Amino acid sequence: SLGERFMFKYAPNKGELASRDVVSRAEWTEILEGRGVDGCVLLDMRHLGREKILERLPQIRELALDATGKDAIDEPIPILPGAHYTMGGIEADLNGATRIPGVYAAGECACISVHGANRLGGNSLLDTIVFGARSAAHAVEYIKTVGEVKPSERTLQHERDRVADLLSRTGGTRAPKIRQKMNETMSANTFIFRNEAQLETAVKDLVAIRNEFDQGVYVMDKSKTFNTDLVSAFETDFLIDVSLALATGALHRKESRGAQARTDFPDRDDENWMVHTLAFRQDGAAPKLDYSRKAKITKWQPEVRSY
Amino acid sequence: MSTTLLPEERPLDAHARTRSSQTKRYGFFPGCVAKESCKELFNSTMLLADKLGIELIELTAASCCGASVVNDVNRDVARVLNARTYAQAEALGLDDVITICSTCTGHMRAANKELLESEEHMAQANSILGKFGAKYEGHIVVRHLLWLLIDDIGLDKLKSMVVRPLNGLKVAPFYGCHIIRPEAVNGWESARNPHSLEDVIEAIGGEAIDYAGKTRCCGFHIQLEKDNVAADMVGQNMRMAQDHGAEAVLTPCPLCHLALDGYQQDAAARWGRTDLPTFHLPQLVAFALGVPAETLGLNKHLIDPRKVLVDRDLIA
Amino acid sequence: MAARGKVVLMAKITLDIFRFDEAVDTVPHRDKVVVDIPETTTVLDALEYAKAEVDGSISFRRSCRSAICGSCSMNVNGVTGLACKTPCNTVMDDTGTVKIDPMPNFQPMKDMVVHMDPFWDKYTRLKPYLQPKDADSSHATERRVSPDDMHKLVAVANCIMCATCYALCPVVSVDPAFAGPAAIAYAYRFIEDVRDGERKERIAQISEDYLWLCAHCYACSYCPKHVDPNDRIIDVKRAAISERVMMNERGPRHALTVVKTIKQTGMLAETELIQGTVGKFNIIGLLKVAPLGLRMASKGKLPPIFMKPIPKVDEVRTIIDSLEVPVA
Repeated sequence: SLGERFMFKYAPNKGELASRDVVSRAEWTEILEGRGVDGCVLLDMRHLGREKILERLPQIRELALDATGKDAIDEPIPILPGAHYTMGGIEADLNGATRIPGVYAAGECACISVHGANRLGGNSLLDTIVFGARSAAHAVEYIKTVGEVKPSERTLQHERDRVADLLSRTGGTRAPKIRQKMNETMSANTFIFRNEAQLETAVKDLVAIRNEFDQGVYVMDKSKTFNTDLVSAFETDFLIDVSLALATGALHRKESRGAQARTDFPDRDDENWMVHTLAFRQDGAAPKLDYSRKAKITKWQPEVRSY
Repeated sequence: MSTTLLPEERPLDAHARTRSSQTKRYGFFPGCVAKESCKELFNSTMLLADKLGIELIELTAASCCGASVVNDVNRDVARVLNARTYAQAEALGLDDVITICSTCTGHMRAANKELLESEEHMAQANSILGKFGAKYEGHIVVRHLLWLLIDDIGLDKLKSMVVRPLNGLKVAPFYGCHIIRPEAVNGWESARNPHSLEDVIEAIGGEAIDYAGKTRCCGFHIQLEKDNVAADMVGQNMRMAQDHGAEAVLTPCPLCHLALDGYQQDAAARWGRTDLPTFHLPQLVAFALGVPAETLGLNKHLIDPRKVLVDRDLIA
Repeated sequence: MAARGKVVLMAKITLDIFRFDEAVDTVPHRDKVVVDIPETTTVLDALEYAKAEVDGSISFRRSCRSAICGSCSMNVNGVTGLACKTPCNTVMDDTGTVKIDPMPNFQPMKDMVVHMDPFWDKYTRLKPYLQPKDADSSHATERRVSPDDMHKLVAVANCIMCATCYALCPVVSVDPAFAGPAAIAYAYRFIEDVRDGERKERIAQISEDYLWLCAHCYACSYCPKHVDPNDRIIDVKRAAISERVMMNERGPRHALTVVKTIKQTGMLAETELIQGTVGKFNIIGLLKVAPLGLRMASKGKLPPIFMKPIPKVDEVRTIIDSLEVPVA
């Protein structure tokens, strides 16, 4: 609101080109400290000029125009930090293989991990293209070694029964409502800045949400045709698991690193925390955490991050 | 979602008024069909102009620009042919080129836009026009007579001039693609829900029929391309028009007129009989303004429009 | 989402929704759901709200909600486009009603979810992937393309395959064999890619999928990503003529005959046009158009085969010759 190019306060050298987590924290700090405009900060592209914007950034310009009514060529655009990428994911090795034989993961859903607690610009291409190709190649070789695999009829029937049970319920809480509760606690307690109390609340809330889902989620659409209500319930189910892993891991990680910024542990603790958090699902409770996988440091040594 | 146009995708101003609103002298390009297969369109236009007290000065040396089909062969020739037409209009001291064909309107406006928005295009055109001593200075406004009626004459004035109101004749407008799309070229009104024809129909005492087919394509450019396509393109729209109660159709495009007038018979097999007579815009307006019916070439249509006029006590 | 600190106009909006489940229904019905939301809410968000709060069985495709995935094309108050790009207050009628239907030209499956296979089939037939002129192994580095060469492909590459153009196409509605705007525009993307080695084959494939059935009506100009498929279709037609693909078919014959009559007379000569398009010696073809031709002739609608040229027609010829335009 002061018309200030605030990024240079936080990143004297790089300014707006600093790492994403630095920029998010800067934006949010400005807003929290009352220097926002209508609760946002302003993204100003006018200096690039009409031609360059139309040539290089037409889709962003149109998106902003549709969402805010403002033309980035003429006016600054109000923006807020938003969730862009999920760091962490399904544990996989350099071939995309998980600890379940025959199950591969690559891309954003996987954690190999190529970028730790912060996904820098361009790295998701690495995640997808390189590891997508590697895991596909490895999967092909794996298939050759195992030949035909028949899924367990018992497992299939279990899933059929589970879905049938879900669809047979005549009442309960709709998945969107449960998801909204999850959104609210995650937004309030695991956002850009976190502390112990917030993270404890998040874990507690999420365990309750987990139980509410398992016992009482209600799918209204009973159709067998393109049932998006059912799919939405599945998605919510998995989101709860991911949220629980995230919040529990964050609570126990008593340091700040990458995108995790704890106000109660503001510094990085390389001595104790150069480890990956492995989270194992537990019914009706927070996941069990395992720290057996240390971060592998090879060529690049950890340094102080300064922009 | 009324339009997906970005701020920079603006057409040339279709509502632009020039000196002609004072002088009442307008350049006029009748197009090919009005002089050949639909002569009644040309004749009724001249009779209407007379009634309205405007002078339409025919650009007799102007050529067809290829009705979009020529773009399939070469991307520049339509633009330069039109530049020649505009140069002729300028040489006669005129500011407008008025059209009576949707197809002419869309393509001439597109050419004018390309010439006026690109120095390269204008230079290319003028370098060729220079070979026979012509030059386009860029001052021409291309408008359809429909727009002239509403912008220059005005619906109220038009209504006051009506001596033979249509007695509630149910008329379905059929715009013709090229007078409304693309919006970045035409832009006189919304292409998704235009109402200029409806306004004119109501002003002359008719009842305008609303139906989805009013902005759809008549299929003229692909008529000979494949068996049945011509009949289907016409049938799908005329079926809708009739289902919504239409007794007749009004179109500002003679190519659409040829399609609608000619192919309903073939369309009957798959779409049911429709037999909707189609009026040309100047023809029906001239009629309402009291121009003698026998001078309007109503007997030139393949589907005789005189019957519906008789049914509404408009002619004997 | 309401912008913080700003006054937001709430409205009671009625969503008038098409309901159909192909597994159980023979005819569709409509449901009206009233939602109390900011009037600038997009149609997509309004549907999500209705689905979450009122009726979980309302079904529609969606993903990104920011006009990049192409999932949410539907017909809103008679107009097809992306629901995520359509604020309710730009489409609702005087009674505050937003009518929602699946997009046309597709068979409905469940509410606004339609069977997309015919659309995808047209794509698959294009072989929509680079078929390079030479083997990867013959390149030491990646294949380099200049910005100028890439420039004309940029707009088409923005296609998100939302099928809005296909839904709006009046030719597709009467002839589902027509490739449709999206496929032809995407064919352009490879036909004009300097790295591709199958230019002529691609032009032949798309010509066989009825490239020339495009009526130039610009219904597809409502592409939400500004691909302008109709202009690309015309570009492909030009490429077809310049590569002399299927020159004896109606489309090329028609276009070249038009140029011919303009060069000869300065105008379209309808009689010559019919003959030139169908073919002078195509007896069967001519017989098919004869009935209409005779009806037209009886009303004096067929000009003589030899038409008088316009004044100064040599200027027209100068233009056509200067631009080296091929003539029939």
